Amino acid sequence: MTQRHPFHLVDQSPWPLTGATAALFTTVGIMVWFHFNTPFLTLFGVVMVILTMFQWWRDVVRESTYEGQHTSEVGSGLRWGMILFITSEVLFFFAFFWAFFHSSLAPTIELGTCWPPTGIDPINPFQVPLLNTAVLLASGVTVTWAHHSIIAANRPEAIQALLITVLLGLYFTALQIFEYYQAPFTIADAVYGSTFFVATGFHGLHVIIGTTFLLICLVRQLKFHFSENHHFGFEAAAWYWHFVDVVWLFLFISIYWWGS
Amino acid sequence: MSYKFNSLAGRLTKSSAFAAYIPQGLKASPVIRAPIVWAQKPTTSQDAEGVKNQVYERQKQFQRNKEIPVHLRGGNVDVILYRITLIGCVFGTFWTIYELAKASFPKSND
Repeated sequence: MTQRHPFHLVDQSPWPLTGATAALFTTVGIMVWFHFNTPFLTLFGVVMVILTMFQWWRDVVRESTYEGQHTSEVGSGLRWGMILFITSEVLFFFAFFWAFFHSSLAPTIELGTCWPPTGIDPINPFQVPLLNTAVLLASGVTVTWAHHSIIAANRPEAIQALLITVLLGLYFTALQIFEYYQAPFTIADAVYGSTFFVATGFHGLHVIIGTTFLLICLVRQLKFHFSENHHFGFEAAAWYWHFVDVVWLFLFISIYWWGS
Repeated sequence: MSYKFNSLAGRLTKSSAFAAYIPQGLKASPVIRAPIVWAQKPTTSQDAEGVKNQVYERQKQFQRNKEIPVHLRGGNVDVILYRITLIGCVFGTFWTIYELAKASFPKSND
């Protein structure tokens, strides 16, 4: 096997095709759900998306850890890909903040020209939301601890720190579920409810995705996949986690605190 | 093999294909790249806490059998998962077409 270039020429893969069809099932399924009130095609589409994601990323791990295809040149491409992905996520959340400030900075007559709107009893930001802020900031510390441990080839501490990070992520999600149950308003409570639940809900989804990403890193760390100079899978998860953390700080300050 | 002029050595020297096609001007700047990792034993390969490090064995497995695509190179479980996914795609396509066709002919309300 002689390869005289640093690039990764990938094998033929079925996953783009299965992923595209799975996305079709999900979108048509949602239409069917809305029109005929049966969620089965949507659920089937989600199962197919998960099957595709599992196998596709399993192959990426094989290509990097087992085949050694991730040279510094390929790694540079992966880094740029992750940077652009997170940038697109920033813009996604920017839109929700825009909607929130659009509605809250000049509240309409229907809302009582005040924010929070008349009749809305907002969540106290210094109870569970402040705890959530502390939990996410602490998880930012532990993920950095995990990174330093991986660089120092300190396996036990890397495992401990990653485990604590994952547990903090799960704790955050549990607290948010609790908070949603306790909330005195719903997503149907005018523009306050919709901006609040769409922004915090998508953030919660991102926390769940980030926790899953970190959990995969923990499994890979247990299976000796990361070396002290080659662990971009972990770094991408850490970047993503910090992004989720920063979005929460903006949510906490503007929607929970200023908005109450 | 690619070559480029190395102003430090004052002669043509061995270079990566990538560096050779980037004009460096007068500045001698050797491009240092990590070597491609072909079946190298990872540096953190000690078996710890009773967990066996299988990375080296898996590297050997996956760097053999290069004619099999990477999504099937892991063995029987790969083939089963792949077939389940494909069958699901074909089944779901018919299901989707059926649902779209059904939605295209709504019952009239009168």
